[in-house]
Amino acid sequence: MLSANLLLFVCISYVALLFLVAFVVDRQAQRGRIGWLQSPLVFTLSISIYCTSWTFYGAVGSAARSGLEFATIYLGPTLVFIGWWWLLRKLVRIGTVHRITSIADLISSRFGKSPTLAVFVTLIAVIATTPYIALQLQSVTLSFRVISGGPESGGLNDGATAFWVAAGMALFTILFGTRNVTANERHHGVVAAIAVEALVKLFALIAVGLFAIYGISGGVGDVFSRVSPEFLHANDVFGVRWAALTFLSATAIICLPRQFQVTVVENVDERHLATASWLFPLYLVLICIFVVPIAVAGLSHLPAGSNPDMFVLTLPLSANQGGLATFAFIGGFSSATSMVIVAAIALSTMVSNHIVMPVALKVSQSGHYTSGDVRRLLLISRRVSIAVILMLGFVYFRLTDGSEGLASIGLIAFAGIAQVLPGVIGGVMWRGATRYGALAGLAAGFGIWAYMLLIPSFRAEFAFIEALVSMGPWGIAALRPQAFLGMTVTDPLVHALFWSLAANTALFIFVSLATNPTPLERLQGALFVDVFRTRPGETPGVIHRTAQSEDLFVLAQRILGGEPARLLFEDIARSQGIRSGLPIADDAFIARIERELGGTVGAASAHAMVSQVAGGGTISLTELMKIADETAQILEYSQQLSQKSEELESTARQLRNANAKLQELANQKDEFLSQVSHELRTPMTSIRSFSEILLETPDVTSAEAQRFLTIINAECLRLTGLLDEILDLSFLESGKVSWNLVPVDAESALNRALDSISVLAEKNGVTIEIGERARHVTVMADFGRLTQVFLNILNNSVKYNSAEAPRIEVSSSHRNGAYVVSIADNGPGIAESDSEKIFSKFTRGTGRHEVGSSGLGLPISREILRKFRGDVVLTSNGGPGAHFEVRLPAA
Amino acid sequence: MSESRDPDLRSRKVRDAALVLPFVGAFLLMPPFIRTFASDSYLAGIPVIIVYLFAVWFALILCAWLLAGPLHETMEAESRGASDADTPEG
Repeated sequence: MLSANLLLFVCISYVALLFLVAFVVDRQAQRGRIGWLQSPLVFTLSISIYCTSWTFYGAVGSAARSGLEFATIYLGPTLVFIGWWWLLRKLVRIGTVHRITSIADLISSRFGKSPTLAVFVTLIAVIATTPYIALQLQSVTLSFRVISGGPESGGLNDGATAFWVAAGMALFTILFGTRNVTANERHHGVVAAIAVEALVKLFALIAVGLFAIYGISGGVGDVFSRVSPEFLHANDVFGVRWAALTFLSATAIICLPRQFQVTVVENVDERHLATASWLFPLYLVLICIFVVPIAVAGLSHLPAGSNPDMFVLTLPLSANQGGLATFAFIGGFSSATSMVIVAAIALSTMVSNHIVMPVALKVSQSGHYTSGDVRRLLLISRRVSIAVILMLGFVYFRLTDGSEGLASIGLIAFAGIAQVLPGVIGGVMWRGATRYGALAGLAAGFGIWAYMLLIPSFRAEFAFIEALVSMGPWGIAALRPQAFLGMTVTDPLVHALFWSLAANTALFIFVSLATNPTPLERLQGALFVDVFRTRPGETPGVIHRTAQSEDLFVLAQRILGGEPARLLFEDIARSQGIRSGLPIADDAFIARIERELGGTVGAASAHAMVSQVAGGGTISLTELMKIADETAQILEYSQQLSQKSEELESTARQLRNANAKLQELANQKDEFLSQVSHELRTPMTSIRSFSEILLETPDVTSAEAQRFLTIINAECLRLTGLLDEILDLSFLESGKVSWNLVPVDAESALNRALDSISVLAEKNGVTIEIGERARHVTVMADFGRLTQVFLNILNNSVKYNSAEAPRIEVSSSHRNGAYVVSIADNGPGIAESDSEKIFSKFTRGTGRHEVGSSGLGLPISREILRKFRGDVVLTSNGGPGAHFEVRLPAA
Repeated sequence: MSESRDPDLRSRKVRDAALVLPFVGAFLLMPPFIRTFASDSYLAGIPVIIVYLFAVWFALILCAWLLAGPLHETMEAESRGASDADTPEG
């Protein structure tokens, strides 16, 4: 035993140290020197308030009673943190973007800033946390009594110890937890103090563990040689309860108000989660690794009947290690106080934001918020809430004094707060979740939890509860709280957890499906679920409200305080491009004000306050649809992307085509030039040679000269004809000709061509047979050009016809609005492969070279006909010879 | 092109691994699988189940530690991307 006075002195010194740390850090934070405080290490250590005195003392007790089961309480959080990428990251991002102040604020804000939900979650949190605070008080008093002896040996009595501890913690929390109401609810002094406490409790437990292994037992081997399978409960521990407890602890690390406070609200940088994802599980495993050795050492070295919950203290005490025992006591004290402080801050924030503020707003509605300073009201309500919450814990502790093992209260509290989980998960993952769904689920889950777990936990104190548990209400056995509908789960916790969460989730889903969200709910739902797709600080212009900047300024001043409000408005004015004076009260500005105020008083209250100034506001449906439409955002992005890539692809395709065309044209041009020079060269050569003969031979007879000159003349005519045709073709192809299409009698054009060719045909001995003729067809064309076309084709048929009895058949028809002239000969015909080639410049069908012809006739004809929207094609008529068809649309 | 695609692929794999890790942990630590190790035997003087439990625990922490670095980088890149995207697009 240690003297109570010495212990008190150590305690008070330690508390003074914590006050000092908090004070110094707060001062530094005010001067902006908090760089080290914003490290991931401090963040992780502050999360370790999860390990309360329930862990510090109770884990060993649990291990002594039920073997490895204690580990589940730390496995759940381990799984949540190594899976941080799933949920925690999203919660932290939402918390940062939407200035969430508590778990109640998260749920209320998600479901349309509903005040009802906020109040409800706050009440659940208070009801579930009060026993937990009582538990901490109990462990402190119990440990104090164990280490200093009871009142009979001069120590304080339990009530007094608990009262002073509660009062001290209230003082600390009020001093450092409610210094300000702004800055997103971050309490640097408190965070620093609990980081120190986290280290103290870890080292204390490790010290006791090492002492248990090496000081009391004979090393690791000795400790574990005493571990029997019966001790570990290895055969029955891995059942439903193992899974249920792991799930429960995983839920607790997310939903407990104090965990939400340190993980989400106090988080300064979401990247710290990356470090905490492994560092916090490491902290947990270090805490756990010595639990079994301490339990084993306690069971084998302490007298039978010793309270296993106090092994951490009684082991060193039994070996007269007063210093170590004091260190262990301080460790337990640390774990209790840090939890209580953070829980009190979290709860007081919730109570003042979600219960006191709405009431104050209602009351001041008539006076239009001019009465009283909101900021002061907020601070006072928080301070009072802290005192009240700690007092509630104290009262609960006095009422149930000593009736429970430490761990069972903790698990009941866990199961209570777990009822928030469906609302949280559904809220941030499912757009369809509605306020009514969340309310129904919460109400059912909470009711069942109270009925099946909370009320039966008082069965020892109250006879009527004992009767209720064993007989059922009004003697109806099917409704017994621990065997509902005759369910034979022996474990009341698993039983209650199953029924409450099943009813909670089912109602949440079904009521959500059956009800429609309000526009504000839809908006918040979209913003929460898609928080990673919305850029921070970007507020969609959905809600349209109007307000006077002065009114907003007055409101902001009342809540944020004069200086911060002025800075905020200056900042906004600057971003609006206004040099001096108040910013323009546009929608974005009002939304930002609401968000900033929400960081202090919670989303629901902020919404109500701003609405008082700015009116309820109309939600623009089109904007809302844009955001709320399930996949609109993703679709928009991916559509834009695919559109861009499609555009690029088609551009590339067009470029490729154009390039191919250009190359082809270049080839054609080269070919054309070589053809032209070739065609020009032949007549030029003969002209040159004949004129040279004439020049160089003096004694040419006049008859010979006459012959030579005739040849020269003919070749000149051929040259001129060729050049004319080339000019004609390039003229046609250049597209510069503006065609004057007039109604033309096509048959008379054909007749003119037939008349013209008859001389040549007679000369070559070709018979022209006129077949069936269309009568009087009008086409849109140019008479001269059309005649030229017919003449060209007839000319070809005459020239290339090498048959013994050359013959040409000409017929025309007018069918289905098309005028078709068919010109067939019985000549050598044109090979299939040449059927398109012959329409190119200078190409003649195979074996048609020798006949004098430029090879431009058909291309020119086709070019002309296409201008008339017609064409000339080579068709196969089955027989020998070439068969051309000229087609024109009849007018 | 291929230079930027490889880190993308890697960060995707890391994110997928981060999503899978808690489920692997739950599988290894939950019944029925954990019952396989609930025997009476000892390993180096320590009950097998304790060795198994803490080995899995430390292994999960190690995996989380290995993933934390790349994930941290991913988040940095994301926040950089966000601030980049904020400025233009008048």
